[in-house]
Amino acid sequence: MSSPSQPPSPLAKVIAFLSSYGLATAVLLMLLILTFLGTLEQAEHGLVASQARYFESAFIDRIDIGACWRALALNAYKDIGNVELPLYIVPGGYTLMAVLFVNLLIGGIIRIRKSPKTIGVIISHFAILFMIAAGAVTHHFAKEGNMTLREGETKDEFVSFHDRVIEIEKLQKDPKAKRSVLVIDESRFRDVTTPGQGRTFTHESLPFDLVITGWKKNARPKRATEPGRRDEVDGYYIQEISNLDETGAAMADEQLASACIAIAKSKSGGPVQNGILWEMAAAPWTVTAGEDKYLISLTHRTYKLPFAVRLDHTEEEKHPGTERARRFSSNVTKLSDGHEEKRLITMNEPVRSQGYAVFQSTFSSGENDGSGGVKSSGFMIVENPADHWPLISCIIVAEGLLLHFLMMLARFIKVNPWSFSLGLIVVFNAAFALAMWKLL
Amino acid sequence: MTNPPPLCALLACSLLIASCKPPQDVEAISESREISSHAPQPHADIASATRFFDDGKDEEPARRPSFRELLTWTIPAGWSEAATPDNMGMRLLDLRFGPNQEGECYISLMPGPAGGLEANVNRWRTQMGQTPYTAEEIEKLPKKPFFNRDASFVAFDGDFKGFGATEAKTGYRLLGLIHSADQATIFVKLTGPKALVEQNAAAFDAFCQSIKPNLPKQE
Repeated sequence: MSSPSQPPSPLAKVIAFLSSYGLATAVLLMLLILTFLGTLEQAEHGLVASQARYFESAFIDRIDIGACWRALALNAYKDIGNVELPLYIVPGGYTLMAVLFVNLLIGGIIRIRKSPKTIGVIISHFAILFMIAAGAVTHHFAKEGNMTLREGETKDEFVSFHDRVIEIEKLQKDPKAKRSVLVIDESRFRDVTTPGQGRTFTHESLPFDLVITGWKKNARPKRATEPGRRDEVDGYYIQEISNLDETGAAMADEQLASACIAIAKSKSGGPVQNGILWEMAAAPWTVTAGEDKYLISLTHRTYKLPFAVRLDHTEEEKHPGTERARRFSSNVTKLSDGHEEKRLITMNEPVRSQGYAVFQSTFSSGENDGSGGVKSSGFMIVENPADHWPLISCIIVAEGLLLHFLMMLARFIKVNPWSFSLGLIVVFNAAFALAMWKLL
Repeated sequence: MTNPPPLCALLACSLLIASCKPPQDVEAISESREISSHAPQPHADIASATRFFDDGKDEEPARRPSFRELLTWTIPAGWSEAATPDNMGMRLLDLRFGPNQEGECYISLMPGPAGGLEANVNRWRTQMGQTPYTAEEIEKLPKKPFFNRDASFVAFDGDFKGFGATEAKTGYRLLGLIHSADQATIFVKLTGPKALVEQNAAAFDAFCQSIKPNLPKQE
């Protein structure tokens, strides 16, 4: 440390700033504001878009003042229309949480009083750091999606709820040949929204370059009835549609159907082929290059499971005398390396295996979905390395604060703080464990 | 205490610069994945219409309510249905009579009061080149039984200039019956040269009397 007579070094100044209470207060205040604005905007922009803009972003690019205004129902007094506040260097939730993590870490190491008396506070402090780390791990590494299985069907892949990609597959002449696709993530083409603006994607195995243009977040192909439309592709054009449902509420991201125009430009000077890629399309767009055919689709990102799941039987129980679902359950077989394992999945009772949790999410009797009465189940699949970290950190925070409280109480009533506190914590934990065991 | 704003700004700017990566016009595809053996085999060369669930089928226009199914009637002898549909599509039944089919009689049905008796009678008066009736004159219009209730009957002479016509037909006569209820208003209107209309006045009355609700037959 610097001596009192010497001015603090620049490094000491930085460390002092990063561990300061002032910074913690400012960050927490900004997080409060972000939470407030993000919650308001969610009403019109939907959960995923608001999360991405406010809580997962390094910086906030704009605030939709009009949407916030309407969410507060202030338009009943004055309608301000669509007003947006452009921003450039206002930190988003990701940056703020990173700064908070650094602040708490350095503050915990440097500032916090370290003595047997403060052991509970120290435990709780670092448990909060663990919780922030859990959020970061979840944000970067967690995958979640959906897998729908009809009775008798087997799958070992699931599709993301929100992440979209363009996939290019070369059609194999041998139906038993190994298949693979080239993948272009949505982040690489979702900014090509302006007509005439496009981005070219190339790969050495492709006989053409793929140009993506005119991307729209929620759209549908519409038959071009007017002659000479400039945006017509194969008799259709992309019509943008509202992200709001008939009640005016924002539709969930997974309900939106994005679309774009794809242009295949032959590398050998062959003809240019144009097609519309639509997320809800019944089949991929086919590009022909000589003898070969390539299937191109805009779809949700597909993830591979380390095991396969076969749906043997699914059942829906209803509340007596009503059409309200009481319980969905699925008898499945987990297929892994030649081994078969029978498992039961019910609502709120997932099957966990190899880091994946498989939840029962939907059920269909097959009577109204064109599947000819074959029952099906929808499973939500989550792979999150930090699955239980928030629970663990909450328990540690609670234990730390309980320890701190009991030690303060022991000193007040003048008994041995260690034996009193630890003894009671053991009793509390045993009681809690017993209660959980009985409840679960 | 260190002054936070400059440091905050520095931190923010450095993060901004680091996070900015302008998109390129040409990008290499660097990602791929294997497709599961459980995945269905794809189909190639699917037409756009099939891909977009369109299949070249035109959307069926909304079925126009068939008012003809609501009523029954008897067409007088010598009268016949018009060979061509009316331009406005308003005529539930469109009849012609006379040696050169110059007499016209049609039924039209409109939901609700359809503007009211006074407006409709005066619309017909105007078509015949007559001044509109006052409310009192409307009140005094003769009634004829129709649908087990009283309907207002009108008869005007004049020069008839129907909707969309460029020239009025002189020496015409109009007979009309208007029955209005909360649910719907039914019009029976006959026009033609005065002599021809007078010859067919009884047939008009008989035709109006024959118009009845098309009730389901009792088993």
